[in-house]
Parts: sequence; C-alpha cells; structure tokens
Amino acid sequence: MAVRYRKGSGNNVSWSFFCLQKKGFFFTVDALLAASILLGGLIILSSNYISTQPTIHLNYLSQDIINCLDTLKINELNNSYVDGLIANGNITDTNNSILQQVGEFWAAEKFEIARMFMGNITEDILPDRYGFGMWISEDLIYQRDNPPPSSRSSARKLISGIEKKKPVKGFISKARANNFIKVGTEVISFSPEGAGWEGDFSNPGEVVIQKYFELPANINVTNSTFYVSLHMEDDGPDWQVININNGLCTINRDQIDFFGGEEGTFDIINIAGCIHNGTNKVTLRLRNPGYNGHIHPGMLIKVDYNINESTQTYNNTFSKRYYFDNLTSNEGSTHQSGAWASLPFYIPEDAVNISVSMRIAGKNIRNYTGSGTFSSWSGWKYMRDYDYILFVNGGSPFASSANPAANPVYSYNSSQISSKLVDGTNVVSVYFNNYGDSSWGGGHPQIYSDPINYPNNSSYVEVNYSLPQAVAPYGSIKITHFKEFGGSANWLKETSFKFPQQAIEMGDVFTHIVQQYSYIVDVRADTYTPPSHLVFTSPSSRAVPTTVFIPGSVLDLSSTANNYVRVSDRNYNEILPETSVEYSFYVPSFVGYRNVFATQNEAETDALSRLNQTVGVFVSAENLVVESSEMRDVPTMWGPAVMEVRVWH
Amino acid sequence: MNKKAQIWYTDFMLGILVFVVVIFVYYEYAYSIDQNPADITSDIMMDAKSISSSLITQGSPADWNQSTVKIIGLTDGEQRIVQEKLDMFANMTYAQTRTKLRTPYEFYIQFEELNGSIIQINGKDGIGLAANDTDNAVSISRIVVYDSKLTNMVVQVWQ
Repeated sequence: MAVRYRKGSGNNVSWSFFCLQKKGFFFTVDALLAASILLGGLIILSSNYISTQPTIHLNYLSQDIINCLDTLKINELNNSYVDGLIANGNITDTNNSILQQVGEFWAAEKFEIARMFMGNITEDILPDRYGFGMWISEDLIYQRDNPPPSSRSSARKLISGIEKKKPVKGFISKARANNFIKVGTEVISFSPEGAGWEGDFSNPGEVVIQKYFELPANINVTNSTFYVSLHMEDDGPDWQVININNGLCTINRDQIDFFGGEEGTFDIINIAGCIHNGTNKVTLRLRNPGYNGHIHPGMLIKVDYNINESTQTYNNTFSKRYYFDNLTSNEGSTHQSGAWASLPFYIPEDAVNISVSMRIAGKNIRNYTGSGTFSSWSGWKYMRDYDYILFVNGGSPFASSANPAANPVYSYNSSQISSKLVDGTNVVSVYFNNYGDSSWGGGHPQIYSDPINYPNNSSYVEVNYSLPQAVAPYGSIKITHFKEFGGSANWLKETSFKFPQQAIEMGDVFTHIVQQYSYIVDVRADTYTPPSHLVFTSPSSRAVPTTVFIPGSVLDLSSTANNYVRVSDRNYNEILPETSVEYSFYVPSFVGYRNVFATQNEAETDALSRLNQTVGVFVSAENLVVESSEMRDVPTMWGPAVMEVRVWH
Repeated sequence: MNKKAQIWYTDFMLGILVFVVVIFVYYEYAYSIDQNPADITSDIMMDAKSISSSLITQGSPADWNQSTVKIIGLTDGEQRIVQEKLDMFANMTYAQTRTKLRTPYEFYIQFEELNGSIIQINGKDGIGLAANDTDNAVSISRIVVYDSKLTNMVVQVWQ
C-alpha cells in the first residue's frame, strides 16, 4: 500500500514522496514479509496431515470385479434389463453367475446382448474416471471407453464348460440290455469208461452206460451234435449203440463211421431234435467180442441253443456235484465183466476253501479169490487183491479193496482227498473187477448212479470252493466260443485263439480232446508258441478225460494276445482235428456315459450304437433301456474359456 | 512525537509477532522432519491394504467366531460378505478388532452402495473409529457382494 503525504496548500502544494515514501515503503514490505511467513507457516503445518480420498487400486479392482461377477447370481440382480432377458428367454438359468451368463451369451454368439448385459450390470461399479472392459478368449464383450488408458490392470478366470459355437448344455446317454437273446453251446462230455468185455457175436459182453444231464428249462435248443468216439466191435451183427431220451433218437453201430474199419471210431452225427431242455438221458451200449468196448476221449454232445437271458449277478462260491454215469458191465458168453469209469473235475488255481468229497457206489461186485494176475501200474499183481481200485490224480491207487461187499459204498471226505488235489483238471478213476486189458468180474458189476431219482445214493464227486471275487461283474454276459484245432490228425496238435476286445473278464477255458486211441496225453498252454506250461497230463494210462481245464493264469485276456494250446499223446496216438478249445469270456451288457451331444436323440443313438458294438456281435439285445442326462456346467464338456476383466485409468 | 512513538510501537509488536511465528514454524518444521509424511503414508497404506485383503477372505478359521478367530475375514471366500461374520465383527470391541487386524493405527470400515449411500451396520455408519479431517488417513475401496448387491467396502486406516 502506498501512502502519499501533501506539503503546503493551494497551488503550492507539492508532493514529496521521498522521506514519507521511504518510511511507508519499509512498513509495507514488513507487512508483506510477515504475511508471507504466516502463510508459509500455515502451509508447512497443514502439509503434515494426510487425509486421502478412498483409494482404488487397479489390481484390487480388476480382481474384485471378476470375483464378484463370478459370485453374484442372476437371480440376485434387481435389474429391469436382466428381467427382460429372463422374460424373453435369453436367460434360461437364473442360477448362473453373471460371468457364466456372459459366457453363455458368448458361446451362443449373442454378442450384442452380452454387451448390453455387462453394461447394465457394471454401469455404476466404477467412477467415470476409470475404464473397464471384459474379454472372453480375446473377444471383446464390453468396454467403457473413457478414459484413455495410462495405467491398467487385468484379472482372468478360466471358465470351463463353455466354448464358442458350442452348446452350453448337452446330453449324455447310457444304455443297457435288461434282456438279451444269447446263442450258446453246452458241451456234455463223456469221459473214457467201459467196458463190454469179450463174448461172441451171439452173446457179447456189453457195457451199458446211462448218462443223465439237465439243460436249463428256459433255453431253446436249436441243434445238437454227437461227437462219437468209441472203441467197439466193427463187425458182426448190428445193434443199437446210442439211445437218446428213451428212444427219441437211436443210432446203430452201422450208422457210425469207422475209420478204415478199425474198432476205434470217431464220427460226428447230427442229433438235432433229440436233445431238449430239462432232463435228458443218453444210453450207450458198447460191445467188442474180440477185446472190450469203451468210450474214448472226444465223446461229447454239443447242444446249440438260444436263451433269453436277463442280467445276473455272479457269485464267488462254487458248489457242484459231478456224477458218474450209471455204468453196468454185462458179461457175455465168456463170462467176463468189469466196470471202470473216469471222471474229471476242475479247481481254479485261485480257489480257496476247497472241499472235495467223494462217494463211490458199486453193485454186483465180485469178490474175486482166484490166482489170476494183471499188468498193473507197477508190474503184475493178483486180481484178488484189487477188486476195487480208485485213483485220484495219481499213477498209483488212492484206495483199493481185496474183499469188497457185493454192493459196496466208499465215501471219502475232504481231509482224506485234499492232499491229492491239484489246481486245474483233476481226474478220478474207478475200477471194479478190472484194470487195463484184464477183467475178473462176473455177472453185472456196476458203478451206480442215478442223479435224477437218487442223487445221494449215486456215485459222485462233490466240489466246493470259493474265489477271491465274483467270476464276473454284475450285468456281464457270459459268452462261449469254440474253435476246432482243424488240420490233419497228428500225435501233436496246436491251436491258438484270442479273446475279443469286448471281453472284460475271462471265463473257463477247456480243451476237448478227440482221439481214436489214447495213452497218456499232455496239454500245454500259454501265450507263446510252442506253449511250455504243462496244464494237464494223464495220471495214468487211459485216464484221458474228454475235457481238460486250462487255467486262466497261463492265458491272456488281451485281444492282441494269442493264446496257444497244444495237445500231444506220448504213444503217438493221433489227436484228431475235431479236438477243440472252448473258451468263455464275459462282455458287459451295458455301456456308460461317454460323449456329450447337443440333443438327447443324438446321445441316445450314440449309446445304442456303442451297446451294439459291445454286445451286438455276441447277443441280440432285447428290452433295451437308454438313460439320458442333461448336462450343464460340466467342466470337461467344453472349454475352458478365458474370461478377462481389464481396468484402467 | 506521539504519532512517531505509536508508529514505532506498532512496528515493534508486529516484529515480535513475526518472530514468534517464525520460531513456532521452525520447531514445527523440525518436528515434521522426524516424522516424514511419506513414511507415515506408506505404513498406513500398507496396513490399509493388509486389512482390506484380510477382510476379503473367509478369515481363520473359516467358520470363526469371536472366541476362535485368528484372522478376521468377512466373506465366504468368494467375495460375498457373510452377514454373520460381519455382525460378529461389528460386535467385537474396538480393541479386539484392532488386535486381530494387527494394526497400530486406527481403522474405520464402511459399506457403500454403488451410488454412494452408506449402508448401516448394526445401526451404525461403520465399524471402528472414524478419522477427523486433520488426521493422517488412508482409505482403500474394495468391491464385494453384500446383500446380493455389488458394494464398496471402504477401509480407512488413520493416525
């Protein structure tokens, strides 16, 4: 502020600025300095206090926004635009999170709706000074343009189950066959047994063998074939050798092909219509005046059938009674008779709690007291000491009797037999009044068995065991295939087979040995050729069962693996080409969920197609059940898509 | 003469005043050198970030209550405020909460709707102690879902 002083008066008034001006100048400067100092002090004081407006950190912001959008559900929003989208069907699942919903819009290529949707929801989420945008897999969904970015942050989330141009929901189906028509084959094997001893054409010795077997009541037998492998008279008067079901079908000697006129015969005879479901009875009458009539390995009946079967549960306990055939050796004019039979039974290698008992019932057994001898398992022996001989898997008798009763019954419990058992094929051989080529019976010695009417009085081997687990999972279907060795007859024959790729479990595997004559047969099997695992060898001469069990442990279920089976006879007797392998396996009767389809119809068609590929080659599926599910939010269905929120200012 | 004496007296008084102010300013300035505002801001900011990040979590244990709480967290772990946890937090004493939040500073938590309206918690505008205008204060805003709405959770830490 400038101050003026006036000197004098009137026109003489002169203005002197010097002295007064100087004093005034100093005063004004002082005041300004003081004011400056005060102002500076105030500024300094005020600078010691910090009071900031709420700070928004970009990193927090982008992460918070994407998390919130992933948490907040459509049904929580109070937004008229969203309500409209629900009303017009653009939003179908109000339980979706906002992020999921945007993802669905994106997948359906509803970009404009997605943009409007995000704009509405995030309108007030940030002050105007912040920019905000959302991208899905680099596709811009929404962007608030202001301001131009100088600093930015982004947060990302992976959202699975969506993919551009893919449906966000889908259908999966599984299918099962509750019933199926299965084509199967049942093998009824006759193991070597006899004998009809000597005699002459007018009064021959004759063995009468009666075999009973049951076929399930619900099967429909389509064909039956008799593989006839016998040793019997090929000359002289004809007679009825085979009688099926009390005369329903009969086969005479002259109807059976003898290879080159020898006594050992093998023939395959169609017996369609002779075998039916329920109880069947086959009677054989074998004669051989020059020697003895008996059954050779390879004697069996194949019954083809179809069955309408339901899915079933398989258990892990096994109990079966193997009955001997009812066998009577009738003397002829030479008064010779003697009954013998072999019976195989099977114990898997992984069986536990094994219990095997046995009952042998003889009738009309002669207590021979003469001085005759026979060529035994170890030199010559007196017949009188061996009216009864029992072998259990061995070359020497398990039991014998020199003084049998006329109608003896021999029972053996598990503890008596257990030490003789082997894994795989076990063979029991019983002899009354005969052994090898010698007989010393009289009248009608009999190995008694009537499993239909008197099962408990019959001759049998009862086998019980349990397995670590069920033989197959629930709902699987047991399929049995046969493969003949083929080729030409030879003392050593080998074949191979593969399980199909649909097989999920291995069933029983057998080889059915067919020979005209036999001595001691070895069976080897494994996955190499030649197979080295010896799975069976005849415990004694002629103890060659028609059916030999092959343990699954030496085989491979893989569809790429070859399983080899080799059969050989130590005496170079021929193994016939009709020798076969019977192998069972299990296939599932259902297929589970697999691919996701846009429509239920596509999913069901796929399931049925897969079911057909799985079981169609084995069975004709009936009563198909297809179950479909609608899939949403399945992480593995599509995607993932990358959702990104960017924030900038 | 009287006039001159008066002028001198006024100058003298003004001079004394200026001198006192300068001395006062000097000491204030010297004190402020020991407590750098930038350092204070940094510490408070770190605590504000830490507290806001803690409150965004489920806390520890996840189903904490006033007797078991080790770390206070107010959400379900997915950014959604759990009312029960918020109530428990609001009902704890200020000393307890400050201990659990592990801060030497004061704090104040508010929830604001996106339009800026304050959301009342147990009848109050916020939880904790509100800062005066002259206090050193840092506020951090986090977005959460509260009561099915996008909401700003403002964490103010002050000295």
